[in-house]
Amino acid sequence: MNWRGGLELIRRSLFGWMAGRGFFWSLALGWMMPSLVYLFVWLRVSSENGISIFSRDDFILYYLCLILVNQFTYPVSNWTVGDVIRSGNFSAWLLRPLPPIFEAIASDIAMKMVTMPFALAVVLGLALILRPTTTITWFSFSTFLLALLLAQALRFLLAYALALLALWAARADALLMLNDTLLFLLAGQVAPILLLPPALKSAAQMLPYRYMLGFPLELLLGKLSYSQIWQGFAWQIGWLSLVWFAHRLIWQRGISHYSAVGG
Amino acid sequence: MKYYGRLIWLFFRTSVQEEAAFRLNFAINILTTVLNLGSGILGLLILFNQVETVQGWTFPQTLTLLAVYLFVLALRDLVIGPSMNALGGIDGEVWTGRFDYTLLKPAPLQFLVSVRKWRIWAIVDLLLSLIILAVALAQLQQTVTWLQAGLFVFSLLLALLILYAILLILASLSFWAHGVPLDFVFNSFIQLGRYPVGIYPEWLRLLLTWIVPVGFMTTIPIQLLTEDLSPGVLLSGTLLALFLFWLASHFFRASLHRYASASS
Repeated sequence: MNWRGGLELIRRSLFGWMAGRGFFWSLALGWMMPSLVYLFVWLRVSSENGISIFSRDDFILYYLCLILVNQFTYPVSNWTVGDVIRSGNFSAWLLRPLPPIFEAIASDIAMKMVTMPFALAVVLGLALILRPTTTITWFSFSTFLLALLLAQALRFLLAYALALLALWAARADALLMLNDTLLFLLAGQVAPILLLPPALKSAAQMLPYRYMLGFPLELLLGKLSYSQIWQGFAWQIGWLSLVWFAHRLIWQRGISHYSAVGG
Repeated sequence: MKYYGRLIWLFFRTSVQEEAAFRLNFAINILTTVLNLGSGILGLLILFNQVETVQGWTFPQTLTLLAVYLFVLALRDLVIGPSMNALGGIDGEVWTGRFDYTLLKPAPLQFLVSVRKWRIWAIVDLLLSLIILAVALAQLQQTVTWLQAGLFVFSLLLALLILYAILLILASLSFWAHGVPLDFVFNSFIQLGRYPVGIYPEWLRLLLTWIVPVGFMTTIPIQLLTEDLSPGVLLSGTLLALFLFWLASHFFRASLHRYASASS
């Protein structure tokens, strides 16, 4: 692996992304909007009816952290890599003396560094307005961090693998959209997984989406028992390895299929 | 009037022909519509699985709101959105300089830039939103008087006028500063209209009623249908819509002076 080249690429991408701050901040605003809508919806519900397993503070903490976790794990390569393949610019990536995944990693990191301050500012502002009180133990925080890193890896790899499907099919967009919808419904965005109806809840626990967003947050809020924690990590690591192998397979088969477009 | 009608029909036909070249897009657009709709309805079902009402809004009422929200957005995506995007969007004419050719065309400019691009797939969204609206209204089990129905349609027209005015202002802003996609920001705020504005905290509710009038677009039409709303609300909505339209038209004309073309 050519690490020095990779680092250089990250630096270059970062400067490129910094130049378009305003643009990316408005994108980031769009990404956090669903979480904001459901934060207010559930706050209203909990102030009217009271939901036993989630208090008002739980909802605030859950959704404010969801905004940050979503921003942190958001895979921009989902859309960009497919475009690069279709336009034929992918050939230039292939000519570099480093694997093309570095390009995807570079823009991923750059996007996060550019949009994170914005997301943090919004979340801090909302925290000042809503003033949640909560205690987070060291145990829940450290398991949260671990799950967050795994979630980031899982979400990135799945997005990259799906984007690589563009090597075969001219348009893999349909699959990406389906992926996004499932992520909205079953990752804990529309409601925390614990509040889903039983059928959806067990589906969510088996599909990879919970392990990209909801699982770290459930750990942070300390809503899981020890056995649920171990099961969750097992599912997360299982999905991560599965997606890793799938991505290798798609890459090896796809690259021999690739024929550049353009002139 | 006939002249305008003929122009609109011409633009519509051209857009249909452009789109017909990409058959695969049809399937993808249907899928987007179905996913969008499905996730919206499932989201409501998940919420109302936990509670009976949210701020007095029952499931059928909130479903009606979702239908109106989708209806207004579908109308935007049918013609206003794509036309404004062609003007001030990321690769819009103001940016590329192709606005030169538009300026030369012998038709009223504001009319021209507002109706010339059609996204025909939005018709599918439009029909589906109407079906959901019918289903939701049937579930409401409430008699709707002719007066209420008339006011409902009237308030939807107001919503459309407000939306048009705001999008025109945002597109005109691209003459002043390019590169900040303000329509993205506005579209993000529109998403808050999926739920009744009453559920939001006071500061956000005021913002959503007067600054980004999402409330006038979705919540108020439903309230006209399901409860007695004071005539003052409708009157102030009418005034707001007329004022925004007047402002947008003037701002568009003033912004034209900023246009300095672009070199190749």
